[in-house]
Amino acid sequence: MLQKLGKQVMIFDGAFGTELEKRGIMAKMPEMLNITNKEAIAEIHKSYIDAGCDFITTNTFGANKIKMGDANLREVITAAIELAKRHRTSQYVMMDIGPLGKMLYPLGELQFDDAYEAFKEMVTIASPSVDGFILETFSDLYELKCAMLAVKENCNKPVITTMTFDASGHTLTGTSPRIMAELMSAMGADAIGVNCSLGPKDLKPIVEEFLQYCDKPIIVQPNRGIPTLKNGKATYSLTVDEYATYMNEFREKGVAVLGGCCGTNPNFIRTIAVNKGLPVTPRQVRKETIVTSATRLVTLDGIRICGERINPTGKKKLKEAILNEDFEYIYKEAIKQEDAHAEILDVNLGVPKTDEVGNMKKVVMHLNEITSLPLQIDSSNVKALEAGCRYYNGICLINSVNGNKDSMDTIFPIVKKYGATLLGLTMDDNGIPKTAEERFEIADRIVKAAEADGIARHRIIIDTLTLTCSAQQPLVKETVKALSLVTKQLHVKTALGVSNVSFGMPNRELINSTFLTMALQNGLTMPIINPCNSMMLNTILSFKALTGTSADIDNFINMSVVQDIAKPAESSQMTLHDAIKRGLKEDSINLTNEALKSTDPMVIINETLIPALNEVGDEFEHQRIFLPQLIAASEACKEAFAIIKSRFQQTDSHKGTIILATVKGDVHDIGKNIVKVIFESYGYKVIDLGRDTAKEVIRDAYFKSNPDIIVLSALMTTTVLSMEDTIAYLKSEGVKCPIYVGGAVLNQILAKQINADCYTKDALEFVESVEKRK
Amino acid sequence: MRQEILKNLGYSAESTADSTTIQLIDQAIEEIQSISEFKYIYAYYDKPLGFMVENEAYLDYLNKSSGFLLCATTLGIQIDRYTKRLQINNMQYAVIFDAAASIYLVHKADEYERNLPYRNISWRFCPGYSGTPLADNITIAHLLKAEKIGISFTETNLMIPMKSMIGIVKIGGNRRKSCKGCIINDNCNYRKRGTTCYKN
Repeated sequence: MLQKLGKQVMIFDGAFGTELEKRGIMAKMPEMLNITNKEAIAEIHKSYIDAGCDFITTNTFGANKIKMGDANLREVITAAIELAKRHRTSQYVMMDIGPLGKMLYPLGELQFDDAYEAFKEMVTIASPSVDGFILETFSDLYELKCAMLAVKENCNKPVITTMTFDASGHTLTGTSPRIMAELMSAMGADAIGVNCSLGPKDLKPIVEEFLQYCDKPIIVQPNRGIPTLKNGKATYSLTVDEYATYMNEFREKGVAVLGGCCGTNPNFIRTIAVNKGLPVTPRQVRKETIVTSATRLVTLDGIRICGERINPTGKKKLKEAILNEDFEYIYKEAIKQEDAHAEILDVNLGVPKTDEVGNMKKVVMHLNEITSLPLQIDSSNVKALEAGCRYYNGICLINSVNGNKDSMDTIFPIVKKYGATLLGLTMDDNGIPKTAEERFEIADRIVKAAEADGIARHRIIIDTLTLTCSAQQPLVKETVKALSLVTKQLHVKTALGVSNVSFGMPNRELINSTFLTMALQNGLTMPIINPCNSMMLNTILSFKALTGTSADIDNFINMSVVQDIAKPAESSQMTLHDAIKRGLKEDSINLTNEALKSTDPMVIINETLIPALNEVGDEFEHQRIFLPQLIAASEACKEAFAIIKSRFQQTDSHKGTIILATVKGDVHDIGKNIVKVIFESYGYKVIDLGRDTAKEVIRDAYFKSNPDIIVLSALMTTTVLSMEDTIAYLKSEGVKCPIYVGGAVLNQILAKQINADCYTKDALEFVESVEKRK
Repeated sequence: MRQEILKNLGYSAESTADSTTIQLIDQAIEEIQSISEFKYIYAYYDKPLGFMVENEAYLDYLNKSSGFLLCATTLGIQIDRYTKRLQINNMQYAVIFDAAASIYLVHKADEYERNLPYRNISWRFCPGYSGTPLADNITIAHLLKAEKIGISFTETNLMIPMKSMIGIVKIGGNRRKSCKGCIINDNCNYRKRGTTCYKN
């Protein structure tokens, strides 16, 4: 198959559902027909074989344990393959794998590892008896990546991957054809493209994007237009000839595999099969150094800022956050950097005595959803590095490999398996060489070895390594010179961790920005910096304005205006009390810092913060203010508390500990998060277990942190049962503290029925009743 | 739309809202317009389906209608992503955004239905109303192949993306809504404020 694929035009079969419908066969699970109506299935396959296709797709689209539960999958899949083979002559039998029908965590509930197991089961049953796999109709890149890993790690058969795109030009979860093509190609798919989605006419721009960026053979299997549905029947309007005309155009432009999806039938396939065996039209593919998330592609064709803030080296607060598993701190850092114009984020969680592998998995999964920025997975622990790559959604940047053979032997396979881009450091067993030429030599070694191993040059970025000027001043010039050599002679993109240069020096900002300018002038593509530092950001903006296009000048002017507006007002008569009541975060922070210069922290809490909060609460109760204002005031107060808390040094300064969770089965968490903000604003320590929380997790958290109260939230009537179950379980396991409940569907009576110790109607009442207990 | 969002947030009238809230509501509507990917699919039926025949509430709703549509609609998963992000760094806005997105979906669906090629289209009846089973959402989703617009379900029958609706739209018949049969009828915050969650 691989000898033909991409060289001569090949034909896939068409729709299965439409053919079943035509025969009057309806089934909730069409895969069961492999057992209950073998003749019909074999007959449909035969009709496509007679129509002239090269590939037959098995009737196994949904034959997975998530969709089919207890069904005997082995029996269903084995029968499907047998039926596909029954009338075949020279056709390739492709095991069909579709999405699992559940959204992957953290947006949904299905864990990546569970999804992997479901795909793996299909792959291992089918692989001995099929010619290859087709992963089709995916709309979530993350799920497709998971399925792809299940194929690649469990067999070595060819694999074709397709996704569905809509008229907006991307998948339902926001992935563009280019992002999909780049990731699938880097992970080793043998043909890549689009199926289902729309009719061929509307697919044109999507196919164009594949033609421009996909370096693997392209497959196109459109629908027969968009159907109308009446009394359970779909009606399509596109004719065979219209369909064939569009498909012919695709073939002329360079599409290598043609087929059909919903609404097509053997007539359609027969008509497009006239293209069979024609040479595939050659095309030019653009190759650039890129990194991507699922929804955003960053091309390193200009200066791209990599945010350095999620790296504990020299950052005490982050180190503490990682030690305490306070991941929200990390997520906030990510958002802050994105808002400050970072385009890639470094993620390094290396703190001794922590579970770096587990933490990396957790943090990467959540960052996939919270930020659209691509990530640089950064660790000296290979297992953590691999965990980061595995659970990442897109093409990440791996930091890093060096010129040492062992390092390359370890890292290259990870790059290939996960389709990542690679950061190479110009050092080896002998350390960092002194001269630029020696560093260039290592860069050259890495690039050549990677290319020999199948990792193309454009997938590599070289870091020529910054040394501190206080200790090794003569070597600063060498780093910069090496940038120039790598850029001009190796033609690869470059990176530098800029701020290392000023360790031990006064006026670090100035040194950093001067060094940054020198580096940019010598070809630095990806400065790894703190984007929240305005001097560094401004250096880049001004450098671009001086060396780039007129758009860079406009950008510089616009940004300068924004920064001027953002400067704080000179003087303010506002008090901390007012700032909190009005929910002004920045003012609350400034005024708290001001107050701490002359007032005891406890006095600020008792005489300003708590009275302000109580007044806000009172106004809320009397409906003079409403939820958004209550939350704004609470958030402002929380900021003030955080500053005061940092003054208490090591002493445990909170008023009490609360465990907070939305119960199992409920994915709504906005109500729970409101409660969290209000509790924190009153100075409580909140352990937030998140949503959809298993009762065992709550029990474990109870015994670990001995809270004063457990608060459970549920939004739906259905999850109240889960709440009841959770309460009964916790009490039987020896939980002694009171269990409070809240949520839209609960009331006093229901709360009592499910054995909760207390119910309140809103977040504020919660805090009040907890305060009263003291 | 602003009025309804305020109502959803608990305000009794626009005059009681502060200028920041109003400003954030307007910002939310604008952002939802640009982030959301509204999708709507439907299928026409002329006779009640099996799961409807078993439940009086459906038959009551469909009484005197000439047919109905099953529909599924969503604002897409990007809204979930963005709400999640807002809850990390701006809870005040997250609450407003969440309320605004709910109202926005209803508006978009209403607008879409007004432009359908059917006369006398009524309000949407969604599983869960009048004690109808939430699990009927799954039955309808299956008939419509709602996965094609990205709607999936959790173990407890909740829809993902969160801002999604599945329902029935009758053609002809009585078009007035009422609180009759609503499960929180006696405990409704709207009714306590002398209003309803819907417009007639």
